[in-house]
Amino acid sequence: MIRRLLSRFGSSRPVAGIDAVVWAYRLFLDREPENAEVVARTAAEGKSTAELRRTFLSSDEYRVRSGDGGRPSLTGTEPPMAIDDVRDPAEVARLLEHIAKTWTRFGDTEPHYSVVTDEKFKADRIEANIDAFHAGGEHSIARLDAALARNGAALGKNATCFELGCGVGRLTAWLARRYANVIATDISESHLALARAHLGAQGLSNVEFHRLLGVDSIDALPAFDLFFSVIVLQHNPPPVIAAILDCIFARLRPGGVAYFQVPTYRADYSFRLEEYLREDFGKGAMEMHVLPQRDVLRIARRHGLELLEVIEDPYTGMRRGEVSNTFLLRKTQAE
Amino acid sequence: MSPTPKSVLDERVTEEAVRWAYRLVLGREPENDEIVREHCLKTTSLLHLHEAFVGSAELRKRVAGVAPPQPTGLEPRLAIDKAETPELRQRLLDHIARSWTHLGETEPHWSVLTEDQFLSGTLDANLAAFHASGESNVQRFLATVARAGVELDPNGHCVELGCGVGRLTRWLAPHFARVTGIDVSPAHITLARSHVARYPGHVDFLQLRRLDDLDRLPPAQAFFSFIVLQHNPPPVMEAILERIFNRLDSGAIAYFELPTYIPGYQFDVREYLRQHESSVDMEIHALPQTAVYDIADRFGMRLLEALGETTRDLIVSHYFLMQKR
Repeated sequence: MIRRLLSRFGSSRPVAGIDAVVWAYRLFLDREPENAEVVARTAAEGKSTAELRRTFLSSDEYRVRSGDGGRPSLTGTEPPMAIDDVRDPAEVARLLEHIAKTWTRFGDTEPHYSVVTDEKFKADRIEANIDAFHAGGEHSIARLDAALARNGAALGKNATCFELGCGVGRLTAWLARRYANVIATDISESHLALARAHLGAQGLSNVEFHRLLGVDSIDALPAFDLFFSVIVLQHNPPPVIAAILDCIFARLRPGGVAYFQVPTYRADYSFRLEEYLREDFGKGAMEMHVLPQRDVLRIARRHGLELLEVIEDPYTGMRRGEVSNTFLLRKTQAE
Repeated sequence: MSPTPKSVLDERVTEEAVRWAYRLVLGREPENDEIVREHCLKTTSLLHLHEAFVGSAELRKRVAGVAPPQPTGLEPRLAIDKAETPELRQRLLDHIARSWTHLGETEPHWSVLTEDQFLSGTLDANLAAFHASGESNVQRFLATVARAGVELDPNGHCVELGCGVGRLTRWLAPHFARVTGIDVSPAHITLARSHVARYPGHVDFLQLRRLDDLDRLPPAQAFFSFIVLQHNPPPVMEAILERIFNRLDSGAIAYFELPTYIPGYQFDVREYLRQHESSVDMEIHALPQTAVYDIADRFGMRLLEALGETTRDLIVSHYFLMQKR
């Protein structure tokens, strides 16, 4: 704290010099300055770097360049993405196994950081930041509450919630405070162990944990009234996302609702099975995938789920050329 | 595709560039040397560096309005009345038709695109730009259809709701055997008729006087509407969508845009009539997604895509693409 105060009020107020101005042109406007005079003039204004940043971010040139000014992340003229349709269960199982291997390793090494990729949640700093980590989950559940209320789809207190990808229990705890029962699942045993410990420490005992061994292990779970999943599906290749949603929608009780986030478009995204197996398998990277809206909606229709709402969400970082959607669907009551 | 001009951002990322990105974008020094090296290895071009920093959550918190605006997800439910009787719905439509008839007689082009250059005083110089602007909207429609993997029927009949002065009609016409341009304002239709006559295509016009007029439309294979439904109270939007969906053939494509959320918006039909019925104004209304999907469901319309757009003041509009079963 003292250091922060010093840096704010001390004599070291950083004045943006020639170099700062040149780099501001490069980083914000994607070009070199017109000439040395322009740079010298701006530098002579004696702005701090914060003021310099504000000047560039509020310039018309930056707005036009960045497409800011109320323009959406997609123009609507985007082409279709090339995504292989893989339905062979053996192939899907192989893909899921690859993802499970990657995430088990994340769970062993950087469990919290793998959930929220912020430096302060890395293993060497998590102890000091663990409360902030878990508190950060409440906002996602507030969004869920609002979506249910906004669409007249609120559930009773006796509802059972199924959470896909519970990770270390960051959102699970908030769900457990709202719903009678929570079925929390993950493909990584190391994440699950931490989640169990966290829920236990919170005195929350209405959660049962299951490790997902394969897509069809969802079939063996108890039925539920609410399906919840954010920032999870995106880490699976499209055929896995599709297969998982298919199983989950089948297990959802009539009248129950599904609330989940998945990216639905990314410029330049493609999924070619052969290429993926050749190049991404075994890399152990945190992958980011998409499933187009029409596929999500097709699977939903197959199981009698009606769409209540689909909104753009900030979960993938709100970049241009990319859309992440949060869907709210309800399974029709049996006639 | 035009070739992309050479950009400084294509250049290799140096440690210096990373340090300046920290200072200028995030307003702080990097944590340590290692993180700088990591960024250098991870980012292949300055463009990626720019995206990584300018798109970062840290900057978004610092500078509002850098990322495209989005709904917060915490929006409450909108209180929106139904207009229960056909008479009441007709009364609402009559009110809107009066406003737009007046706009059509005074500022027809500006009423379509409310930019000063399209006011009657400066229209002559800008008329070509006005009509040219319609092309990109129709391209967006075609791209959306392609993205969903469906096809338009080139021998089909397309219904355009709110044709105005024909800004989009002229661009739609080449893609169909026949287009019906519908509008509530006779002055707009007169201008549209003379405009589209200069281009190839078969276009008929229909002045919408009564909601039932829509029941007599010839069966259609496509429905298109952009920045039109928003000017109608929710019960009118609903009644129009129901009637048009009903006139669509199996396999028909519907592409339409409307606001689905306006902060603080509510619609109380009695209060609305009391306040607005005698005035002439350009109103903006919203119809929540649930209401749109409910109607779609009742008329066998299958949603293929809903693409949202949010303005800086958090008005959310959606572009819907649907196909009839």
